[in-house]
Amino acid sequence: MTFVDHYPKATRVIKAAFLVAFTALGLGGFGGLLQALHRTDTVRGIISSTQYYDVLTGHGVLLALVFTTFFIVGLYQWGISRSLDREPENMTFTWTWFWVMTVGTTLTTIAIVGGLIPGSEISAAVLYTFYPPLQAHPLFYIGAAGLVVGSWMAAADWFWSFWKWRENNADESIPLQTYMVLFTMLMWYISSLGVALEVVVLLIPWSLGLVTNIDPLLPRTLFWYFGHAVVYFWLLPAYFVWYSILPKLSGGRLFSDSLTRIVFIMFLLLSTPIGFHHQYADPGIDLGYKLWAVISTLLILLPSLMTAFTVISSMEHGARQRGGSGYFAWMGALPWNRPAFVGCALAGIMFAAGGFSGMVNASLNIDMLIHNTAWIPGHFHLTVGTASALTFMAITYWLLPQLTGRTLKYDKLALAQPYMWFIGMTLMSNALHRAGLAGIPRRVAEPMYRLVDYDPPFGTVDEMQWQVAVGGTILFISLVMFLVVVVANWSRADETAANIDDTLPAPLSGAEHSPKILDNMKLWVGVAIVLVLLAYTLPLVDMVMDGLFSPGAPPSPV
Amino acid sequence: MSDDVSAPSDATDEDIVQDDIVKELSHEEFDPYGTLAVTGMYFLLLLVLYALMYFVEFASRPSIIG
Ligand code: HEM
Ligand SMILES: [Cu+2]
Repeated sequence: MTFVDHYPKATRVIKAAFLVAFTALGLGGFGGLLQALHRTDTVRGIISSTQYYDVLTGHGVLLALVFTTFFIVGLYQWGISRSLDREPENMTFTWTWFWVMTVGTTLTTIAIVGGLIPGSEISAAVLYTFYPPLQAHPLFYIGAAGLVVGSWMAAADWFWSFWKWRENNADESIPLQTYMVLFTMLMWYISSLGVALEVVVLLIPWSLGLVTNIDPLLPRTLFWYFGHAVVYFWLLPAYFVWYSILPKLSGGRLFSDSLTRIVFIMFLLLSTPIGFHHQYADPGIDLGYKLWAVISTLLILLPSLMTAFTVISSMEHGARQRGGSGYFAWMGALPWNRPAFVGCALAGIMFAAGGFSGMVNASLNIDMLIHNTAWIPGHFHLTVGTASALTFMAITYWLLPQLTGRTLKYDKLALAQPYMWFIGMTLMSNALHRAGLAGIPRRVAEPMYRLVDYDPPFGTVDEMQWQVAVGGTILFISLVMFLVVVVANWSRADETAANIDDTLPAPLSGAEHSPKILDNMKLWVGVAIVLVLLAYTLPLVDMVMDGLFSPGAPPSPV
Repeated sequence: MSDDVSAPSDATDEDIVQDDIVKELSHEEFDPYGTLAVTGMYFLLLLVLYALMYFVEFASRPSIIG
């Protein structure tokens, strides 16, 4: 007996969400391959340099927004059902949010793909940040709104389950997995409100032609109000896996329940007010707001370091239970031959490397060195592109058997896959970072290597180019390997295999040691809202005072 | 035991005992000094790399911002 036997209804919606997620992963990943080959001048001609931007939009949207969100709702539905021991309260509602998200995603994808079809009226080469005055077809924005609204409904569904559970468990502390889900989604409500307002109030009317001009700064600010928190919307589900499942995969137990809760509270409080650190280079925003963002961004290092400590110590606990010893040698005792463990562990290592480039990004002054250069994709392929994406792939190897009742087939292929990803990403990401230091821009089909004399502080431009091209190719092969394993393991077994291990061990220091105040959601949401108001009221009032759509710029392309 | 760990499965405690565990360590018996070593090294590395950024930008070559 495993998850699918206990919660068949939840299983169906989880698998549906994973199906959309993995489809997006395959399509978006192919786009990544094309980009890596095209912009390095390795293979030209599959796409034109104009189509490059349609592909890049597809890559960013399908991977960073669609793959992540759909995987997350599947993963979180699993966490809610198992930790509250409940099926969804009402399947009509549950399928409604799934379809709202899916129809929205389809509309957005149609708008993007339209740009690749010669002669089509529809296009959306606005990249996944859709900064105006770049303008997309209205379908792009309407679909994106659907994706966000659907995810709000999913969160409401999980709160509903939680309140139902509460009726019979008035004095219990919130089960840890449910806690992580609900705190992620509280953060998501607060932050995605910004992008929803941007899209519904400003961009949709403008793309429909109801107004002609748009103020570039206000929508951009609303985007980044959401845009840093979305980073944590990608990462917290990876933390959910690292805190609640990885200790078990390592052969140990979570170090501390209360530390985990504190970390999630800190992310709820700090994720949104720091959005201005994405606008260090924007004119029209007072330096004071930017400095405030620097300080709060450094504060968020704290929960990140606490996460490193809790997760590594839980792994160390496993390693020592498995007979490991020494200051560093214990790492050798970890199960480096199990795909789910390996993927999560390698994702964590890459994330630590991303921590360094993130510190550079966060520092107002040295950020100017790498702003809008290839360094930036170098950085976030370590964070969302590996810490989240590789964790999601790896944990699929552990979850899928619980959804099908079938022990994992092709486990050798599954084991090789995270190692391949690690190698490919090491090549691609280090080269992108160094290319950025040399001043090579991001988001360009034609970096004009022959016209500009780039002067790299480390290595040569040629060597970076082949590392990006080869690394990107290895990454794509790794991605195909993942999809092959998923397809081979997708169908429901006639009878559930006996050895599917879906249990999770108790933390070393459990919820009975966690102060009750950590569970006080009203309090923490209140503090989070106050912090958001402090960071955003004045600058937003400034931008709105002269009219929502002015100073206005005409749309582009015309 | 926090209650979300009591997995809704028919597995008994005997099944849960994992194959490769040679000794059980309780909270008191476990002292995460390896974690301290690893995070300490990481911290040092961060500092060194961060300091290196100074040389990337200012030492011995004209700066990118002019
Ligand atoms: C097969 C694996 C992948 C390859 C080869 C790849 C390659 C690339 C390259 C070369 C760029 C830079 C393009 C440019 O700036 O001109 C890029 C951008 C980007 N990638 Fe990936 N990538 C991969 C996987 C991922 C994953 C898994 C994610 C996230 C889950 C991701 C998210 C992004 C985002 C958000 C951008 C920025 C788009 C923009 O600037 O608008 N990528 N990718
Ligand atoms: Cu950020």
